[in-house]
Amino acid sequence: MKNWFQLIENYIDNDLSAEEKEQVLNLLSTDPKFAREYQLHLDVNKAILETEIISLRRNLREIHRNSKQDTGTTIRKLYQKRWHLAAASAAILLLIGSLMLSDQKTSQPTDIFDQYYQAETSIMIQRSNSLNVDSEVKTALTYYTNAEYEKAIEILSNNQENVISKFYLGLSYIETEDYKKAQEAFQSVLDHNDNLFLEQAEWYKALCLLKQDNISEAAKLFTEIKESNSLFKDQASDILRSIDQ
Amino acid sequence: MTKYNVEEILEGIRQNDVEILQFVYKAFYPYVKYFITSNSGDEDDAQDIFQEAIVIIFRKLKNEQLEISCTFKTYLYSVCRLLWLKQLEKRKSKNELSIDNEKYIELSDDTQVVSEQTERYRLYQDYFAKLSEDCRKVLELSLQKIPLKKIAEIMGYKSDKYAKKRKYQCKEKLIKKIKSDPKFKELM
Repeated sequence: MKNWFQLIENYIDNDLSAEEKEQVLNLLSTDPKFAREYQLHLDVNKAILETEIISLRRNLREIHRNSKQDTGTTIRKLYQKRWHLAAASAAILLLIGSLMLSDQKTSQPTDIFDQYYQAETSIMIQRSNSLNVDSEVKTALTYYTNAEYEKAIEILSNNQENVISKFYLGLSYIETEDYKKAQEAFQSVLDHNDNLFLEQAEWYKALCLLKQDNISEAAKLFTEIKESNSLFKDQASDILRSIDQ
Repeated sequence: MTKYNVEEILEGIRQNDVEILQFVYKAFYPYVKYFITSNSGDEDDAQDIFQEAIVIIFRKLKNEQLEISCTFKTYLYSVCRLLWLKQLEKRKSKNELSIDNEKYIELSDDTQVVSEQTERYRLYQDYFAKLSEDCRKVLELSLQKIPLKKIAEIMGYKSDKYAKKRKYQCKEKLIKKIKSDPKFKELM
C-alpha cells in the first residue's frame, strides 16, 4: 500500500497501476486534504522549473548589492557578479569567483581572457562518494583541485566516456595553457550535447579562441552566447564591446 | 543615464535585461525605499517589496495580463504599495500610511492572485535552492522529462532505479522543509 506521497509522485510520473490511479482520482474528488497535497506537489514542480524568475531575482539582488557597494562605474559593477551555476545547470557546484576588472580598460584578447577566466572549483571531491563516478575520475578531480593539472590530464584524457571528464579535461588544459587542446575538449563537451555543461563549455571554448587570437571565431561564439539565454550572456556582451574597441 | 519608455521597460523586464533592470532600479527604487522606510519598514523590506513587485510584473507580462495606462513609476509604486499594505496587515502593525505622496492606481484583482502565487512559489524556490546540488540537479532533470536511465548516467548513479529513489528522497525532503516553514500555513 503506497502512502500519499508515493501515490501523488507516481501519479504525476504516470507510474501507477490502473487500480492505484483509480484510488488517486477518487481521493482527489473526495478528500480536500489530499487534493491540496496534490496541488502542492504540482506547484513545487512548476516553481522549480521557473528558471527565468529565479534568474530575474538573482539579477535584482545583484543590482541592489552592487548599488549598495557603489564602487564606481556601472560597467565595473557588471563584472562583480558571483554566479552560482549549479542551480541552473550543473551537477557539480561550479563557482566562479568575483571577476574584477582593473581600472584600466583594455581590449587585448589575452588580457580579456585573463580578466574573465577564473579557475573552476571542483567540489565533487567532497561528495564523490554519493556520486559514484568512476574512481579514476575521482582521483583526477582530486588532482585538479590540488592544481596538479598534468596528472589530472593524464587520467582524464583516457577516461572520456562521460561529460564530467571532458569538461574537467578542458579546464585542466587551460591551466596548463594548452588552449588548443582545451578548446577541443570543450568542443567534445558540446558535441556530447548534454545540457549539463553546455553553457559553461561554450563560454570556455569562446575564451580559448580569444586567447589563441582567433578573434573572428571567438566573436561569433560570444555573439551566440549573448543572444542565447546563457548565464554568461552579459559577460559575452561586455567582451564583444571590448573587442570592438 | 539612458531613459526608457514604458514599452521598453516592460520588454526589458520580460527579457530579464540587466541594463533595463538597472535603469528601473536606479530610477524608481528610491521612491519605493522612501515610501517603505517612512511607513514602518526598513531597507531590507524595501528591497524585498521592490523585487516582488518586479517579479509580479514579470509574471503578468508572461501571462499577458498587463496593460498599463499610467506611467511605469505609478504602476510600480501601486504594486509596491499594495504589497506593503498586505505586509503591514500580516505584521499586525497599523496599516495607515504616514507618507503616501506618490500617485497610485487601483490594481485589477488578478494582481492579488499573482502576488499570492509569487509569494508561495518564492518559498518553494528558496527551499529548492537550499537543497544539495545533486538533489537540485536530479529534480531538475526529472522535471525536464529526461529518462531515468539518462539521469543515472549524468549523475553517475549506479542504476535508473537508484535515480528514481534519489528523486523521491529529494522531493520528500523538499516538501517536508517547505511544510515546516511557519510561512507555509500562512500562505496556504
